[in-house]
Amino acid sequence: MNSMICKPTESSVYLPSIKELCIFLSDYAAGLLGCGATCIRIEKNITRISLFFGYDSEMTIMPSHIHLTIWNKEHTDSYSIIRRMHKTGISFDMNTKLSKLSWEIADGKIGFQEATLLAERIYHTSSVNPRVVLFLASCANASFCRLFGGDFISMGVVFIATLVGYYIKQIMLEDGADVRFVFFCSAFFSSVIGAGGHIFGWGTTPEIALGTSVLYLIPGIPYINSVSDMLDGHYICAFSRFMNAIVLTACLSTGLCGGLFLMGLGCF
Amino acid sequence: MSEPMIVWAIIIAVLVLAFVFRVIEKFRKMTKRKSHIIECGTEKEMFFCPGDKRIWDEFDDM
Repeated sequence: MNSMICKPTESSVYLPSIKELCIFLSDYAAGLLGCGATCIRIEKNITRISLFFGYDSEMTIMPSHIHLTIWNKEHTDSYSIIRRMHKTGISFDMNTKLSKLSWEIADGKIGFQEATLLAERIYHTSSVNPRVVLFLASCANASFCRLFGGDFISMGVVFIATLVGYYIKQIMLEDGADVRFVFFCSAFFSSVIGAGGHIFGWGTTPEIALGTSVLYLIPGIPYINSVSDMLDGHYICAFSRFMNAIVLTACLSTGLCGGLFLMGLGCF
Repeated sequence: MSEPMIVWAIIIAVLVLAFVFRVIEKFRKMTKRKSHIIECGTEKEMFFCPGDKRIWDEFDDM
């Protein structure tokens, strides 16, 4: 990918109007924000595309909204849009595809109309099969158990605990349940299944099985993004993402503690 | 069986039952049209007698 941005020539490339570009970019930024991109990435991508078409962009990134203004070079004409972020859930795949799209535009490989079509296709791309995600998340969490020193029986317990907890999470989110309640329920049932090792004496490392049975629920991406946003000076976004992650972690902890108390296992 | 074992077994049984009921419900929805025991209908539906003319658009010429 070129670090230099190619400039379109009017004869070869369709030059969008300020309004057209603003609509496209606001949608693009809302898509990036929705799929879990950091503020610095959103700013860079938007600037890259707008500069290619010969416009200046100014943007405010709020926790769930994008406020974008596109100016012409002379600053005599502008267009502003406030767009709510897309509710797509965190998706590395979409994040990568949208970033790649910005480079393809900046390198002059695709025109504006083609980019609009491609972006629409990316927004509506269905995510990976949920059952595959369920299986892979369970395998990953069982591997975590092994990394922390758990034996193979504990790995099996963690696999089942994750499988059940993650399935509960998927079906409850499908049914439109509140995400905090979903985290509580998933953590509760995963911890109860994870506690089976302690209660029935399965394996030699039941405490590791219990500890790692809820690891899949830790909201790692919001935590990492909040630090990235803070370093970049986007304090409102950083604080919002951090609080969101804290609330989810609190729900997870409440579910875990509930499971432990019910099983007669002390927290401390 | 100790108390934690019984509690554990009950929680797992409840969970399994919830999954089974969900599967049954899903299967029922797939095979049969959803029917309600109590429904909200219109006046016309309440006073409809077999053989009546079905004129639904009362305000056609308005």
